[in-house]
Order: sequence, then C-alpha cells, then structure tokens
Amino acid sequence: MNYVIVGNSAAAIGTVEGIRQLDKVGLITIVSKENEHTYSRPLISYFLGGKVLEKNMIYRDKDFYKRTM
Amino acid sequence: MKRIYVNEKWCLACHLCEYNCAFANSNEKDIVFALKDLKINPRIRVEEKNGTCFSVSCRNCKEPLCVKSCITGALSKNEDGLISVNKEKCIHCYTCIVSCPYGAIMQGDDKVVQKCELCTNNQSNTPKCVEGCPNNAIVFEERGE
Repeated sequence: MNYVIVGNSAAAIGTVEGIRQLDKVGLITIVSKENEHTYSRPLISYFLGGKVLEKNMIYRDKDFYKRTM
Repeated sequence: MKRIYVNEKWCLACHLCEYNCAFANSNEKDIVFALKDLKINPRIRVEEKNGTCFSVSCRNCKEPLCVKSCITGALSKNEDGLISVNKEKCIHCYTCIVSCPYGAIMQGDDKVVQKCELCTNNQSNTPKCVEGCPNNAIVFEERGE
C-alpha cells in the first residue's frame, strides 16, 4: 500500500514511524507547505528566546527521510 | 535485543546495582573516588515494598512513551531497539520523566535527563549493574520481543 501524509510535524513523523513498523516497503509521500526538515514546533519559542540553536530544532536526524521512507 | 531483566525472588535489596551504575557513569577509574561522600544518582533504582524488592531500569519498550512524548527529538530509539538521550537536544522539559510508566528516566546531574543505556554510553562494555549483582538477580539476555 502507498501512503500520502499531509503535514510534516510530530503527527506526520509519528505516522511514518508507525507505518514502518508494519509496512517496510510501501511508498510514503509527505506533502508540506514548508520546505524544511521536520522540526519541533514547541521549540520555536525556545529558539526565539535564544535557548536553542537552529541545528537542534530538527525533530529527527538529518537522514530520517532517507532511512525511513 | 539483549535487555536487562530482574528476578525479584533473588534480589536482596543490597543496592549494589545502584552503586555500580553510578560508578560506571562517573568516568572515574576508582570506585572510591567516584562515590565517596557523594549522594549517588543512579540510572537503576531498587524498589522495595511489603517484603518484595527488585531493581528497575529502562525497559527499552517496544513502543516507548518517552520517545513519543519528547518534544525535541532528543530521545530516540536506534535500530537495535536501544533508547538513548541526545544530551545536546534535551531542553529539560521532563515530559519523558512524567510519561515513563516505570519511572526509569530521571534528572541527571546537569539537568539533562538520564536513563539506562545499557552502559553503551560509558566506558563499560556490559551493564555494570548486572556484572556486580552478587545474587544474579539482574541478568542481561536476549529473550525475544
């Protein structure tokens, strides 16, 4: 089965990880308005407050999509 | 994956696992220097109630609530099933501490959370709590999922 997920944040990443537990081969497509690696929305305020570096905003490793999808 | 399992019938509540854990994660070579006069903050804790006792450390759950609840992605599960903490990414929100059903995650000395990582994150090659348990009440073995 192939999958299309709209959005690229926590729920989407959770969905990808959930799908991959059961289906290792199905094609997963993520559609997002933002052209960014998945990042943590709750950390936006921390980032704006200077408490978190931009490189630590990402919610999963850089190779997440390559490894998982 | 190999996990730590306990046999509560054999546990004497001697708390040696806690001391061995604290020593293993201290980066000291001598247990006396590592622990003398210090209040230890081990990743494994002995639970005791009504004559029953056993030690509790991270179960490396198949569906880990800590990883799901982590808002920064600091907690992750690797391909072997081991859950580890990325100290750089933890922002001390402690959602994982609240969500762990075993109480196996706690605040570390530097505010960043700490949990048992089966001694893969320190100088030891095998879990020191298991090695030091005098009664084999803690074992490290593969039992399937």
